[in-house]
Amino acid sequence: MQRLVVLPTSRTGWALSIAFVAVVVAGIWPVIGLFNRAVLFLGLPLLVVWSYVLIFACFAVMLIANRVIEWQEGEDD
Amino acid sequence: MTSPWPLLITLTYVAIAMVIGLRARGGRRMNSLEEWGVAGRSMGPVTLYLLIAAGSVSAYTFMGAPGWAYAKGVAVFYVAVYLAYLALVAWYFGPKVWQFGEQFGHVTQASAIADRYQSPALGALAALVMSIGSIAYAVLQTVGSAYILFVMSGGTIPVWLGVPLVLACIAVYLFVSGQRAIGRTNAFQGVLMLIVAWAVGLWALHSATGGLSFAPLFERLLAEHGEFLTLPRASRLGVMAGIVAGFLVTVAFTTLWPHPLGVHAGFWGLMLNLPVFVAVSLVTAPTSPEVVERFFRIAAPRGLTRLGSGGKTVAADTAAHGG
Repeated sequence: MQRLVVLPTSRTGWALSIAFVAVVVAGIWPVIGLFNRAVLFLGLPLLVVWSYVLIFACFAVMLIANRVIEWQEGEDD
Repeated sequence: MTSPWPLLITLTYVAIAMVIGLRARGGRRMNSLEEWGVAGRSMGPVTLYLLIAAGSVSAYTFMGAPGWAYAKGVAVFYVAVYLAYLALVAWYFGPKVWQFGEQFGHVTQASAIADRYQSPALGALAALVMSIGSIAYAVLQTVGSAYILFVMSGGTIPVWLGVPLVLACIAVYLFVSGQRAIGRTNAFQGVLMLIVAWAVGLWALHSATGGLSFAPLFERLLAEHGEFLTLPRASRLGVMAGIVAGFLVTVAFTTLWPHPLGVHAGFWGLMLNLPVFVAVSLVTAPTSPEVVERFFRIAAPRGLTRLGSGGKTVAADTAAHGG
């Protein structure tokens, strides 16, 4: 029986996939446990700072992925 | 009631939303499902952004989350993080699903699923599950809005009356303008929420500390309630129990035993849902290759990697099968 799954077909694709997974992993246990401490960093709770890092990391990964896709589409044309 | 202003401001907001919603139709004929249901697939990026923002930042975010922050502390930041993760999922799936809809004529998620798996019954089941799943969210939003009316009217408009009033307003502009009304009113609401959230946050901070720096607030919180700066502990037994139980578990843990061990009921359900989906798919017949390839030509235009083929791409096979 044939089983198909969409996997990246280039190194860039794999790198982006790993970046997406890394961002998600960074927001769940056990990684989140490293920041689950009652300390302040720049006046903010460490978990709050880490939440901001995750939000901007999501933004950055999507931005980079968009640029890569545009670049690849430009190459195909 | 001490002052009529809160109610007047709230009713003005409702009136503006009604006008925006009713005018959103803009002279278009709403006699096709595509025009009414998905605004003729013509929404621009700004409207779409504000629509999603206002849809995600709900009554829960404005009313439930501050309460949660008050009761549990920084754990409430899961709301901001899961919305960012939601954007990741939407970034990947959104454009593809939009293209499926445009090319194959899907208007609802159920019609896409029915077409993808060539099963009207599965489409109907998906529609039923999504309808039931949406009820809790719709009730949450409506009760939240009715509660706002109750508070703003100083108790004059009870929640039981506020619910049909809110529903009636939404029903009227939704009937007249369809998804365009939802897009425009959500855009209005999104802008308002961004402004109000920042204004109220800064005002509260200034009231509590006399300045606009967050540091003194959190320094005091650390000194007086340090436990508010960390997450509540999850138990291994709780996670094990979640794997055993999908939908029924979600319903049971929502209604009978709400969110045991402080973990959300939906998470318990997901832990069962995914393995069952994979296991059942592996032992039942797949949809015909032609349908799979029709979808995957959009989902994976550069070809597929077949599991067990050592990373070999199958674009050529796909082209040979699907033409």
